[in-house]
Amino acid sequence: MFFYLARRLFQAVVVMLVVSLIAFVLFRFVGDPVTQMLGQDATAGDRARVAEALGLDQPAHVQYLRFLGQAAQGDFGRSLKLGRPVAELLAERMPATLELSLFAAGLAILVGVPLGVRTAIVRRGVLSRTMLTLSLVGISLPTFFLGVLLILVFSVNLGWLPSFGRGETVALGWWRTGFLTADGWAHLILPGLTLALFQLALVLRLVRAEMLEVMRTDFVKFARARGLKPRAVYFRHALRNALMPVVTIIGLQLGSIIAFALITETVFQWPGMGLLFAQSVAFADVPVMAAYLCLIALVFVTINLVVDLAYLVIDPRLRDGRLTASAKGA
Amino acid sequence: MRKTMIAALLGLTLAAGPVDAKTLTWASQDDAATMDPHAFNHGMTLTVLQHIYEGLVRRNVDMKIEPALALSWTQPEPTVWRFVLRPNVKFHDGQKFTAEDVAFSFRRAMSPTSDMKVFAASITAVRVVDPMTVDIVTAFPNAALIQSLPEIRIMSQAWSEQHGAGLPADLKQSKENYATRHANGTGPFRLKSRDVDVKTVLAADPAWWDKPRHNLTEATLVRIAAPATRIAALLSGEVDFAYPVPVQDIDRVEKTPALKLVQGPEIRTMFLSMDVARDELLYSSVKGRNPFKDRRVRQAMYQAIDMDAINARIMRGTAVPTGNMIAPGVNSVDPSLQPRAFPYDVAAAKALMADAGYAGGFGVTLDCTNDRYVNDERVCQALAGMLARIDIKVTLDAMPSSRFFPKVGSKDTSLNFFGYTPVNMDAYNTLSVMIHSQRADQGQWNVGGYANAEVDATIRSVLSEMDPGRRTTLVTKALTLHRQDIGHIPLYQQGIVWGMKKAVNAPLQIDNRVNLSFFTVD
Repeated sequence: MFFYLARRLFQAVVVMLVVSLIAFVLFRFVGDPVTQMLGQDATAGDRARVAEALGLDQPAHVQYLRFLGQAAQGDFGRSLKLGRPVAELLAERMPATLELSLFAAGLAILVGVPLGVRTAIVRRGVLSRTMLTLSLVGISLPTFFLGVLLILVFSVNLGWLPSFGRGETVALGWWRTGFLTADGWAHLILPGLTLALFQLALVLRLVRAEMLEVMRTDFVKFARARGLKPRAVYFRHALRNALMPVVTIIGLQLGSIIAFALITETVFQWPGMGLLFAQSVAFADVPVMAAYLCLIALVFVTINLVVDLAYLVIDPRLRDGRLTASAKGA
Repeated sequence: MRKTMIAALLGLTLAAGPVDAKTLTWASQDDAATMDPHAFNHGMTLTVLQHIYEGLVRRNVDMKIEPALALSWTQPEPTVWRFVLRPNVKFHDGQKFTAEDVAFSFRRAMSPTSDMKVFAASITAVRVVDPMTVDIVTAFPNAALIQSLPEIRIMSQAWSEQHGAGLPADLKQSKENYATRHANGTGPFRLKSRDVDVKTVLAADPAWWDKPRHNLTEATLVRIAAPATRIAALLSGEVDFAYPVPVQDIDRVEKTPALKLVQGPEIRTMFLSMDVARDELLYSSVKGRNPFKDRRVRQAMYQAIDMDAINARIMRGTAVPTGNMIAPGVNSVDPSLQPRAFPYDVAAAKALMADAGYAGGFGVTLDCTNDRYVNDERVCQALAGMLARIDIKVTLDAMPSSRFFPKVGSKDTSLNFFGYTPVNMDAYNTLSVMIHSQRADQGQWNVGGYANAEVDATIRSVLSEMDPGRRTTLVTKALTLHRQDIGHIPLYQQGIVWGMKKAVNAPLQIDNRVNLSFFTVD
């Protein structure tokens, strides 16, 4: 078990190193921050001074090692555009992204699971067919397009909901939340819906497929034969068994919700980390981009690690070391 | 009962306050990067800061220089300017404004970490004569000095030093500079709150020394970077004013009864810049020669471009075609240079190409931004199509500006689509940066290597010519010579489009900097 844990941790570290290296190499092609940081009329001397101050005059491997050394201590430098520590900027934006992601994930589960069950039970109903068609739309519609569409309908034409930003927020220590004001909720609905729709469709289709599978099994037939109420059969017996893979997938999807919040945040001017990243790219604000990518990689790696550890808890064979990690399926 | 009603009515009128007090929410695609007036020479940053900080002089609604923190000025010697300062001016924190603050602010703006040094380039010293008088000493007689002074904004010495912000932020310092998110100026608005990239609230300062032209009590700047969302917020009434309005949304805003547009030409001039210096182009099918060195080829390209068609189809009439490298409205520019030097005429262009020995045409790469100017990539595609008609096969390389400027700036280009705004609204700036041959401190963006000794000499004489009439004549001479040489191919002045509610009155500023001082709300 110790070796299993150690191996997973080692793999996580390797992934982080590779991501940071890729990020670092990629950014060399984004463009030259010096030109962005100085006005058009800056002299050659000024450009050289800034390049020197940023360490851009040093060889690439020296820059990378210095970047790694500082990143390991949680120091990602200062934003070239905003002149503030990157860690502070990300910490400021994180609540917005997490609240949006949490809301979207909640919406996807609370709506997706019941609808999935319903479409599995009443397979030929009008509602089921409509839902399945809509879920296809939800899976295939690009996020930015959906966002703009929702804005046009609900903000411009109907005038019901605000089109941008986070609205009024309340500070709870360093965490600024939009959950405590009506204005905050109003601002959350459209971007939350935009971010949730794909996940909702995914959950719906997954639950439906698993339910159909489980309903064919013998123990459901026996449950029915025992004369249990359909409600008990569906929810207490079938759904419970169908949910296992769904939970795994949702856990893994949490990472992509946080990562893909970027597009939603850009469309809705939602002041989260994704928006900060998107705007940093245009400016070649390398420290912000690097820190964001590493953070997102960390989120994915952590979630995967937690899932692996969860298997360890669930599957006793792993604890005994009788099975290797690769044999765990999934 | 009646009494209470009257009281209530009175209360209502009183609650409505001063009859004209209004608030305004304005949306922009960018936000100020910093509140430090010397840290970043960046359009939106300077747009926001002009409300909080003032210079010795300022620009009026017609962009003409007028006194601000200086009451008057004289020029006792060709290289010395003496400014009498405005008495009884206070910073927003209540401290008195004095000559020491002026000297301090100029030192700060001229320090190595300042990004505003370019505006003070000719200044060697700022001397305090008495508490209400300063002398500015220049290295040479600089006719355009006063044009640069609106951009050198005055901070309080006591406030800056007390908060460790005596100098603009150094990149090597790991801590945030206090002046990055705090402000203390003398301007018409004070910084009420700032949530970077989200919301910046400016409150009109009731103690301001001048009588405000605007009738605002408070203005909130929100950043909405995505154009579709910005226009949606304007259409839904969430914001009162939004800019820029993308060309494709002009019709929608115009057709909305509650909204209106204000549009006109910006002083930014767009043009093609060709490598006219190398013996062989870096990116061309022609080897051993440089077709752009032949004036006939440059004229053929000029005549092959149908600017009116580009304006009508891509810019929806918002641009102003031009034959001049510097827009009218810029100091010392004669507007009679505006018409094209050569008419659009494909047949004549083909004849010129044949004359020059390129009847079969040639291939060349056009470098172009795709995120910097209005519809930049589409304009470049159209230019490529038009040049194809005279058999110049253009390969378009469209890239983000963070790649474009380093590439073009290092002269790694044969043909590029470029735009330039004279930073201090003075003709000398464009002449020196774009047209003068490349020297230590001149021709920074003359990447094509255009060089004409007579043009250079004329530009240098513009620098110190104090007489406005003679100065305009010199500028016209330099521009005319460059025009005959076809050193660049001028295309158009980019259009400015601002969208707003009908109740908002905003005069267009040709530098595209929103100045709330000139706004009124009905």
